Amino acid sequence: MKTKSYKLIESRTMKGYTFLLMMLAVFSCDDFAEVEPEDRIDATTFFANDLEVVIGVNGAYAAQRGIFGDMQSFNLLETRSDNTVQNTNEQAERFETDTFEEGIGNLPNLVVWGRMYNVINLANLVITRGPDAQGDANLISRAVGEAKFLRAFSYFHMVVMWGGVPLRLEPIKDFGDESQTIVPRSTATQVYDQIVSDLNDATATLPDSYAGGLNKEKGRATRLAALTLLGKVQLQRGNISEAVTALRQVEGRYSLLADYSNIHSSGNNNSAESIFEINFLPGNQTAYGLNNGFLPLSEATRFGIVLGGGAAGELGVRPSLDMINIFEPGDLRLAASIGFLNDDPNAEAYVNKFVDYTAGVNGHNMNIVALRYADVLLMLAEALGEGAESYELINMVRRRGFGLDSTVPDPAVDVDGTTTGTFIEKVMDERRRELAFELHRWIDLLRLPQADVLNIMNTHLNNEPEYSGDVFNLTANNLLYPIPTSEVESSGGVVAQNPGF
Amino acid sequence: MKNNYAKQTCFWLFCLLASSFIEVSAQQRNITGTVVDADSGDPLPGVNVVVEGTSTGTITDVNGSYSMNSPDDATLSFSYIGYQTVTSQVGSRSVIDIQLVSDISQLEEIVVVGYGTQAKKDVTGSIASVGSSKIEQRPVTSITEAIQGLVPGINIAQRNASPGELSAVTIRAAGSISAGSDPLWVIDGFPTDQRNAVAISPLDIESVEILKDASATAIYGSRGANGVIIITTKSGQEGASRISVSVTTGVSQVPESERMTLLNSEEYVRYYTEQNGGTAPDWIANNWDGQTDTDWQDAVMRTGAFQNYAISASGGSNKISYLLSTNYIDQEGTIIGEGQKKYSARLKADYRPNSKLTFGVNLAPNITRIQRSSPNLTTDFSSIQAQAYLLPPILPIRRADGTYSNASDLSVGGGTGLLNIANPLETAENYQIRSNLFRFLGGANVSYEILEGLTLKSVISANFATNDDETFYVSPGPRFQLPGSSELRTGQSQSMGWLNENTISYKRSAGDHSFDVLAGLSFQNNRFESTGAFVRGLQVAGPRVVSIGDSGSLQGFNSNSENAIVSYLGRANYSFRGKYLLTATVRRDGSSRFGVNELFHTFGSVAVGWRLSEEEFIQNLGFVDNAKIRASIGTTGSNEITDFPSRANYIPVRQSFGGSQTFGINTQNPGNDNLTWETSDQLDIGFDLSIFNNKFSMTFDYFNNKTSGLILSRNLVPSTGFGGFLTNIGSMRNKGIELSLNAKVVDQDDFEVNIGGNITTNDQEILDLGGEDEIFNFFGALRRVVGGELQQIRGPKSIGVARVGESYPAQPNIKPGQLVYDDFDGNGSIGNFLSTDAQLLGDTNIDLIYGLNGAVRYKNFTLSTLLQGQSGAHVYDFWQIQIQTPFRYLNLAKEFWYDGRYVSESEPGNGKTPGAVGGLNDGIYVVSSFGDQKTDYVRIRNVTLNYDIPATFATKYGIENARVYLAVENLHTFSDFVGGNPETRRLSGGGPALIGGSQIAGVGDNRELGLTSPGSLPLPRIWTLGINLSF
Repeated sequence: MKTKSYKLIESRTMKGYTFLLMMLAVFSCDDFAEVEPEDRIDATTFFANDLEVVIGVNGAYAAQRGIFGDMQSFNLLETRSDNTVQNTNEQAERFETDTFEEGIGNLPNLVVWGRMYNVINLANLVITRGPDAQGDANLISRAVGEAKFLRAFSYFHMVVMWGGVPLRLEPIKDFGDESQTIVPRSTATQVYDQIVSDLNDATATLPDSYAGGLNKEKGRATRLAALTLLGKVQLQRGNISEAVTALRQVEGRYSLLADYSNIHSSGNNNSAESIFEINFLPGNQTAYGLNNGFLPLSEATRFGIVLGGGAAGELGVRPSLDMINIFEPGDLRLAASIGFLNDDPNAEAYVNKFVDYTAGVNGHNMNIVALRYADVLLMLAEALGEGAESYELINMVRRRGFGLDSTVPDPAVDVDGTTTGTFIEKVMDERRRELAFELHRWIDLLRLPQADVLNIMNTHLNNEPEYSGDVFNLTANNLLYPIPTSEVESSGGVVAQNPGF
Repeated sequence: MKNNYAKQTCFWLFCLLASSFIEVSAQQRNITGTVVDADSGDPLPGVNVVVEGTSTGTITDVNGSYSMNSPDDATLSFSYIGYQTVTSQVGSRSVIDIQLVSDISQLEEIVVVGYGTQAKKDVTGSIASVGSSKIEQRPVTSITEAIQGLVPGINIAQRNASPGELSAVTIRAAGSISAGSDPLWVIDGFPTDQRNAVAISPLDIESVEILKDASATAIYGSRGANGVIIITTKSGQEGASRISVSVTTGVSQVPESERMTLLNSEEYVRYYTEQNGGTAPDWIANNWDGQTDTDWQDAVMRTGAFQNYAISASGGSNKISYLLSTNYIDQEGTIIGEGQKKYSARLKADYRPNSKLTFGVNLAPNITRIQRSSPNLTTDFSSIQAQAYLLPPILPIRRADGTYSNASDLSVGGGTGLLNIANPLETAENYQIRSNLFRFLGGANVSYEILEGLTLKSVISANFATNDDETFYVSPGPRFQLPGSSELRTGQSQSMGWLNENTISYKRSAGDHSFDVLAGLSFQNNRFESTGAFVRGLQVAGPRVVSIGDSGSLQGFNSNSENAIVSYLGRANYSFRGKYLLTATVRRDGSSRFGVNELFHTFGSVAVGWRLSEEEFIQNLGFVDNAKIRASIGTTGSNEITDFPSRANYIPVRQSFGGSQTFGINTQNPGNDNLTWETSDQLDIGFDLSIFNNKFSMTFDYFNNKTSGLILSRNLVPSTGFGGFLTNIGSMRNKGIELSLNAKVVDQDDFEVNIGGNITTNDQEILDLGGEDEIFNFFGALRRVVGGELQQIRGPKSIGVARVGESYPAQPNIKPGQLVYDDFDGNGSIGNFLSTDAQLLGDTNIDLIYGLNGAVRYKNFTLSTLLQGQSGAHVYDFWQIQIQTPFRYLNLAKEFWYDGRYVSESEPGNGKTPGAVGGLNDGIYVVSSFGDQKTDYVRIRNVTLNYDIPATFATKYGIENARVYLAVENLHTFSDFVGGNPETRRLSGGGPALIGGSQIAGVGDNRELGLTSPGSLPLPRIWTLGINLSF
């Protein structure tokens, strides 16, 4: 065994340590604390290339699913109207929406507001950051066009429901900066101008159809969808000639399905009549769970439909009395829209339009048809005003509803200038029958003169047995929803409340 | 790449430090001799005899004799724990006999502090110690169960007695609203969390130190604010080898007194008949046979067996010491189908090639297997416990056809409103839930004394844990309130952490001055990953294989997370004449959890101590053994938040177009580059005293901790897409006193009586909520109010039950039996809990915790007991009010709704409990004083009767020590709380919070709410018989 001098070792060791300590002083180890998350997408670096821009806009579509695949939007756009009635025993806040008694803190009101902006905020990311991305310029500009369509779709629903809303057109960079986070309301005109501008941009970049396959799937927004929405927006604004111009470009590009009940049937998505749909797929977290929620539990059992948990009947909505009564004898659209317990027409009615009778454990295979050709024909008729062409457009829709060939005139079904009622009443009634429960009615009503809307709604509310005992006298203030109180309060009053709330 | 390079450089630098020490030795002549105690003359076995400056040496044998080789010019050093070290020149001698004098100072109590140990007399911080003797004889499976009540300042609440559930641990009360309040757990130097602490076999624990003030915790910097618990495991000692065996067996059950008392069938029928106006309602009349009286708690509870076997071997020489231990615990749950088995092992060894160099290794793997019988232990309706509370007693367990009954059997015509409660036995039968946890915590260390007093230490440790979780739902057919098809959820998660710590310390005394300094550099990285899959509709029953399920339902999940912390730390202790003490601590931490602009923060503390007992005027008194005044001030931090809250990110979301799948993004977190630590400014003033030969001792502390920069969500307008974003706003304060007293009342050879007690008070106040006056929790049933304690319960105060003939102006439509409320705002009507009639009913902060322990020894018998209690905390009894409530027609808690209720004018009850008929029609009671409960309790935590087998008997069989004991854990809880365990709490679950009355998205936290949680299992009473032997 070797013997060594301690002194030598110690002095060597000490030199070593001194050296190491000196190195320590030179090297900073601070970088050690810099760790990046891996299981999520870094918001600061995303949108680098064309594919990421497409993924961004996919997110805006998915956010639309969040809006329309949920009962809250049904409450605001359909239960609000005279088409459906909310069961008073169900959740109070939904009932309040139905009877115009909601407070400024109403939850469905807040939820829909927030989800509309979710689409807008995602679209803003695509629109602002997309143009700087690398890759296929055409693909990027198409995705930006889709984002503008989706942004316009949200703002259109918002301006109808709330009037002028805060126009957010750019993503927020610093959430600690109130000048970015708080945006005051624009006027309804400004919002409409932005919608029209977005839709004009979208029509310039979107294709008429998609070939299918990755990143060009059928179901994305098309130029024709943008034109249809543009026609709808212009009609709502009262810009009749602009509406006609837009809708004429869609005319003839789609067809009415022969069988009305096929429009909403399991698996028959993105059909020849369909212009734009909110897309769902059973399983994999994109299933539309609401369809059978309209179905009472006993009916679900009768039809042998597999139900997920307590979804059956949870909506607590049913068709209003005047909705049921508006269908004429022979109109097949009644049975395709409204069901009765045990098929007894005197028993309780329910919405059966969206029921997927073949739904499996993984959910329902049915999209929400947001824009379809029958809507285009009826909007065009409305825009053109009373005349032979308009009556033919209405009659095409009517004939199909009665199970007839839509192109062959049938005096037993057709309406014309001699039919009872004003032209606008005939258009509106037809829209109500054709588009029942498809989230159009409240928007349609707001195109009518205020006095007419109030009259229709007061009559509906005062005659509906569900509300018997209460007397309703709605005023103009009831025609807009309250701005959610948290938007007003958290903005310190910068975002103004609607009158009457 | 720069980043990686720097990391690697740092890492290898310190591996270098730990390496290349060269062993040296020399040899000359043979020396023999004997070492004896200077006082008694008894031989001392196990004394270290070393040639100074070398590793050459030996230890004395049983007769105190030794024999070794040594060079002529060498000096031999004789050292032994508890004795002063003696050195002796060899010269020409070949026989060297030595007498060792016992060293009083060495026998003084040593406490473990962060990155070292310190004589208790020199400690300036507030540190409480629990030694192994307090832990060993408790029939517990984890350390958290053992220390509650023993020392002041720490509260350990067992929320749920189900196997594997963690406890809520707070030191000097929660100092945060949204960040976690769990202390930092340091296990043999490894900073980690409670999960690793409960995995340790309690019998392996040498001591637990609870560090409470900034002086003690500032060395842990950004993780010190919630206090630190240091667990030190046992080590082998130099000397003869020793084998210890411990066997404990017992039974556990939830006694009637700890359960919720429910209505029996007769009472149930009577209550709902009253509610129905005097006739039995249809669902009773049509279904009850008049006899069935099911005790659903009996049906799901059982007496569980408890077994604990431990064996350890330890020993050592002057070069090597070791400890090897294994432990097996088998604990059957008190609910059918539940239980856990823990297997653990530990190897701890030190190798000292010479007197300057020590290598240590510590390896502790363990496996815990947990079985459960319902998928969710805490939600209202799916836990077995909750189902047992809710199902009416008039239901039989099984129907006449042998199938399980359930609540739907009573839903006549589908319209009674009975909640859909499944049969708990059916739930237990169909669910097979297991989790297998493997944990490993261990590492290696090296220390080298470069010069006398200058020591360098380097540690590399790892923490590895995997969890294999599986939930298998068997039933392939339709079942009431249970999934309609079979389900399999399987998942694996693993966490990997490693730690590299390097410290250099220098200790020196010169004249009146003595000081030691410590400097260090620490790196810690933790990574977590999980993967899992879920499938429905398994084609055949039995195999737990995802691929035989319905492919459309197949889902896969994965996630991962990581955090890193780099720290520079330093501490200096200075003592002048052993009287005046000064400690200064600093730590600079960089943590990946915070915003990129705020990665680094520096923490520190200064403390002083004055040992009065070293002053002449105190020494002249003659009876004071120790008296010390301490004071500390400092700043520590809390990093108890999730890993990446500061990072703006998107999450992938599924999207489909025309039937084809793709994905998109959604915004998830707005991010905040400036997000930083909650910091806690802490003041502690303490006084330690022991007198009359330590027969009486006390410790007193006053603490005042202010947390600022509370991590809260600042409101954003909803149109931004976010309810709020996390930022540092607001502050709160906890202050109080701690007092512990210990007295040897009788101290004779055959008879000893020891009594100890401790109390802790806490006064809590929210100082600032970033400009808001209050934050609503749970829809406003709980509120965080500036000026108040952490969670307040506000609502109308009920002042009685309405009687016939009385008039109640504020409640003109009141009916007899309904609650009468205090018209607090005096406006002539009663509003609900959000109105101005709401008044402060209570808060959830515990104002006082206390413990009392006593032991009486007569000859070889010792009877000891531990009591523990708390007072001042209220809870809003969400369960009794909203779930187990008469309008759901389910079973009820007898003391809450039935006893003392208003029945009629001739049976008016206690004037507090509303009647069954119409008693609840006002809607105000929902959040009112009626639902406010105090959670005060006193618990007899432990009683143990111990018998030490006489040494004369034991040694005959070669046994060194032997004892048998009979112990009972959780003997009884005295409490007015209705509904089982007063410590159950519901978690917020990250749901929406309300600020200023409007709803916003929640902070995403999982903090405790001041609400009861019914799914929690009450604490069992455990009877055990144990025997400990050591050879």
